[in-house]
Amino acid sequence: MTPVDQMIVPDFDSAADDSPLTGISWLQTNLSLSDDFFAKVADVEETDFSEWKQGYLLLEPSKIEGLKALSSAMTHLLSFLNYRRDLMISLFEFKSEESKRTSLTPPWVGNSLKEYLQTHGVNGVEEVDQWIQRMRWTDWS
Amino acid sequence: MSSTLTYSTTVSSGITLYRITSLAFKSGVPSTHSRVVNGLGALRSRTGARYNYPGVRTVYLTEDLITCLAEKMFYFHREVLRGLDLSHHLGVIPPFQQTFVLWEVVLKSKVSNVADLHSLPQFTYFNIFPSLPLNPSQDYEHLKDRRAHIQSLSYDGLRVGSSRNISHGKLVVLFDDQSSNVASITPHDIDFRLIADPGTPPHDFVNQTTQILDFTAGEVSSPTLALPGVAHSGWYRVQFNH
Repeated sequence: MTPVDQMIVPDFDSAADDSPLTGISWLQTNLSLSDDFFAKVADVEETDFSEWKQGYLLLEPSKIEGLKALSSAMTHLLSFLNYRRDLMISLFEFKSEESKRTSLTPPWVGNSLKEYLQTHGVNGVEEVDQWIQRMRWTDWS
Repeated sequence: MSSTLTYSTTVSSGITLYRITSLAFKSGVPSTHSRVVNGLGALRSRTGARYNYPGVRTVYLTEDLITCLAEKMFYFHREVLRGLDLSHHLGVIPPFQQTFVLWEVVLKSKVSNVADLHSLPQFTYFNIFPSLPLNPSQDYEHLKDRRAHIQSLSYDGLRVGSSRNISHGKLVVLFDDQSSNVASITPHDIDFRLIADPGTPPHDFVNQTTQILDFTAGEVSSPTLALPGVAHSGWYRVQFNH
């Protein structure tokens, strides 16, 4: 069996939870992602994000949906890497060279995944999730 | 509804059906395990699958263990190879050995009105080109369309040969949420690994730069599941149609 200490398996159902708080907290703990990262992806002030996490502030429904989408996309990527923390962190940080794009090219080519998500926000999350689902479940032709 | 639809069969209660998921499905308390057969994965899918358009609830099961292993081995191979293909963009390669969960599922109540697609008269009746369900190389719009047609005729599922299993064991494709219809559901951790062509040792595929992959088979091992002819935690060869 794959050594358990290398694996991080979510203990929540990102699709079923009404709030993304459990998933976001889990991702922060297991992938060492900062409040700043999530705030940039969701396009909110970092202080507002921090206060939302602590239950002091409500975020707009569209921001909550964006965070849910991010949590869901991250779990799809983790599953692709069989929940290997080391591989997921490398995937997040790796900056590939710009190259000719096809429908199969990761949308973040030319950037790191982390930079891409911070720059493109929820639209970038959508692109990444569509890509990983194509990668895993569709025929290439 | 009666069970008199043409060419229908019944998926019996009390028999074991099989399904493989990611590890995340096992991480909750056992009372949550029945979500394995709620069909939500297909409902939320953007891409659809062999017998469902995107956004259509579908529960995929197999009638026997070997078919389940062959189906998963196909997708395991495909995902790792795609990851390898794009590794210059990703900076990582998916592991050549991965752990999943195999579920033994026993339904509480039978499911009637399941279209039984096993020979030419059935394929003809449902206007299905009989070659397409058995071709392993790709999914077809035709099969998604025919599933929708079958469901529109009030069937609750379909039973059809697997394209990945070399002996074409049967898939059971159910159209409704079965999570409330589970008598028992038992998870088994199971490792899948790639193996190498005998000409490029070692036996297991561990180096993409020096070894050639065996494209026709992989191996599985489980600490709790009995695999045919294999000692406890040994490796079992799974052949599949590539």
